[in-house]
Amino acid sequence: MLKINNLSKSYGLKKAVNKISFEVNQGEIFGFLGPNGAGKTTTIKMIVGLLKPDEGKILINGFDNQINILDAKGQFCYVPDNPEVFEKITGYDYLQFICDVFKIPNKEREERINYYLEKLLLKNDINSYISGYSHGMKQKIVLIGSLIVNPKILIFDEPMVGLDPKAQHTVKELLAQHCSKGNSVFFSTHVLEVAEKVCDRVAIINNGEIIALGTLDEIRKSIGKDESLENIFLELTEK
Amino acid sequence: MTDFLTTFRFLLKQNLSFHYFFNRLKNDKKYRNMSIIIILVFLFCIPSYAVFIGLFRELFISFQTAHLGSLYLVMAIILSVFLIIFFSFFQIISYFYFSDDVKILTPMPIKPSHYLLSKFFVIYIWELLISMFTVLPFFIIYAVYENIYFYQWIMMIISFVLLPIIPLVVIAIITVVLMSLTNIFKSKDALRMASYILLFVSLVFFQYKIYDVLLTMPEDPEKQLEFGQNLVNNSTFFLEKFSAYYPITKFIEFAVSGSFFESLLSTSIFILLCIGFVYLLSIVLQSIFMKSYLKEQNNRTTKKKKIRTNKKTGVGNVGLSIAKIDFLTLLRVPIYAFNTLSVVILIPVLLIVFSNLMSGGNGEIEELLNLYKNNRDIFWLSVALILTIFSIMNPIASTTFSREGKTNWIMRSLPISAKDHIWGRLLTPLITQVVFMIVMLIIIIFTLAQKGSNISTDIVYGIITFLLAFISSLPLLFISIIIDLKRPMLKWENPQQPVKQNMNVLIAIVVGIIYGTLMYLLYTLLKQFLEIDLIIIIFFIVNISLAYFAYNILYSKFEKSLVVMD
Ligand SMILES: Nc1ncnc2c1ncn2[C@@H]1O[C@H](COP(=O)(O)OP(=O)(O)OP(=O)(O)O)[C@@H](O)[C@H]1O
Ligand SMILES: [Mg+2]
Repeated sequence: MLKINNLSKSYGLKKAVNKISFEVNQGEIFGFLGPNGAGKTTTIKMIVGLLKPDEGKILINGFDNQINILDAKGQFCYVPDNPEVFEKITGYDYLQFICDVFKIPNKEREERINYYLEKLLLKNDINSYISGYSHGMKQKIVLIGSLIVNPKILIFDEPMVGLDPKAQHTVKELLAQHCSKGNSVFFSTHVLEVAEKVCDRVAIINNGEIIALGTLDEIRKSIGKDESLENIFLELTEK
Repeated sequence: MTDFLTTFRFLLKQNLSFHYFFNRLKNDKKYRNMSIIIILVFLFCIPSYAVFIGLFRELFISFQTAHLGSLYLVMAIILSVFLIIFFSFFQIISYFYFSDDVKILTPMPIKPSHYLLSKFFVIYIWELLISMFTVLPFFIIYAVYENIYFYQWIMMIISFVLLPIIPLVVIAIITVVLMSLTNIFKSKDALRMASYILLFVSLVFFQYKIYDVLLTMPEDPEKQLEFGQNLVNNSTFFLEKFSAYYPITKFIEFAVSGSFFESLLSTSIFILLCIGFVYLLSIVLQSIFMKSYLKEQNNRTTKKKKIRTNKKTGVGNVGLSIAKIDFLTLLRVPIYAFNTLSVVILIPVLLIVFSNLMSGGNGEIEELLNLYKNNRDIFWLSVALILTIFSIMNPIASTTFSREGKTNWIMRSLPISAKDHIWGRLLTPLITQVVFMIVMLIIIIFTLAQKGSNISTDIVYGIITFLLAFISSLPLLFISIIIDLKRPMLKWENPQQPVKQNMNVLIAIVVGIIYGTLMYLLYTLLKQFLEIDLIIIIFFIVNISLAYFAYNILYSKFEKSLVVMD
């Protein structure tokens, strides 16, 4: 579904991402973990076409995102770590815009929009300008904008930050639901419990390099200790 | 008192600081270029300003010969009151209720009445600056021609400085009281709309009045004098009434024409009166401002809860959908609307005003008309060129990506084809352009018709001019988008930055000037071998090909450029 090969990116002399490779399979929730400044956001930006890689290849559902740019973009929806949205339109206008872009038929729109608005409790504010939204509400409207599309793969950068516990719970549920339909999710996070609970597989990145990859059991086996993800994370990123 | 002074200094620095201005001038190249342009525009306006001053002087002489010099000052006072009513009402609402610094200042340990008073004085200083160019000339003309004494000069200047205070206080009190009783302006948008409409209506009205007077003006200079005196006599009744109901005029009369003691005394009373009014304002602000402010804020939050029940559907077409967001944002961010959309209203209004002011006596009109009839083709060709160049002066296209700022990730990561992107971004500037061109052409045609030109011929010329200007603006708009695609300004905090401090706007203007020069050269070259009809056809062909090339460059670079935009 998502295939990263030998991907690198430097900012000046600093190597933010250094020759990383991994793959996200169909129907899988993939967690991308790592300490601050590890290179998670940089990797995600390269995947969604906001940053040009120095080297390496990214295939999204088979489309190279540097050659078939438009086709590749058609496979995913992206939610950034800091979701700034057009301020002077209503949340509803924003969702309609996303539906227009992904050519979702009018009949289905209302249904899907209503479903997710109810799930994430945003119904009351949908007709006010986004400039009046709180941080969490902006996060929600962008999340809804990605979910209504029902893309092959959802790409989230820290989706849980800023959400209240109930919304976090709902998002976890929705992600599982998304995957059960044969789609995939790729997201970065600091919240290890979330990763532990929902992810089928994880990759841990540190200083731009992948230091662990696989299911939790596989990772546990490779370091030879049966510990919680938190301890594994701390141990691996310590070095 | 000290917190009043600190907030006042702070606000003043924000609003008009020369120190800040010169510092930027020294260190910021973009800013310097902008300032030079602004200064050039100002210089450009000086001649017409001089014409106005000349008119004021003539008027005074009419008054003087009728021995009604002091009534002339009443006119200046009326003008001042008028300006205050028009400008300060909206300024007070937006400074007091809609400005972000109130939000910052309210929780601070500063008395609301103190920072509001400092805001009030910032408005007052603006008012004073405006009066310097509009009201002060009246005073100076009066002083010079009446040959007043030195002490009268001093008292007159003091009175001039004090003049705006009392009406401003009254309006501020009315505003605050009104806002505390009802919520007249539910939002900034409503306020802005109302102020635009009012400004527009008043401009048109004034224009009409001036034109009316000028039309009835006889040609014979001697009769003109008589006419002026009649005008004076007709207005004395009104002016006397006004000065009776507005006693402040008396202070000024004494200040400029009384004996030393009369002048000193009346000015001192005037000063005390102003202090009293400001004190009154502070009391009013102290007692009811907070209530009205909270009410206003509250209204804004409750407004959010409204849910529209009617189901809308999307636009359907991606390009249109992009254009919709672009246009709504442009409309709803005041600074954008003012810098881009208002041009469509303001420039035509200026055109009307100037075309009427500039046309002198009837003999001149005939000459001008003959000149026009003999050079019709060149006239319309230049109109087309000017309209085209105006299209690139409008920063809509050259800031299309910059204006997105931090939200740029949305458009960049969505699967939107280059074609949809381009058309979506082209639509708003193009429509603005088309409306602007049509309005301008209609005004030109009507002005010409009014002066006795043949309207049906002019309409045909106007249509061809429109088509040519429309086609020629396309390549320029594409180039503007290319410029902003290549070097957008995405990191900004204040929406003013991407339109006001964006080098791309300036680059686009330079491109427009180069384009204009090239077109002019092409014209002078072709003129030597070809008929005008053929030249126009060649212009069409050249511009269509330019548009085609520019579009292709834009199209081929688009998707790759989006990736490396940051
Ligand atoms: N625009 C930039 N210019 C220079 N260096 C950058 C830039 N963006 C990121 N970096 C550097 O690249 C490295 C990786 O940053 P990145 O944002 O990918 O980290 P992250 O894993 O997302 O961290 P966090 O968990 O804090 O979000 C960091 O060392 C950072 O300093
Ligand atoms: Mg990050």
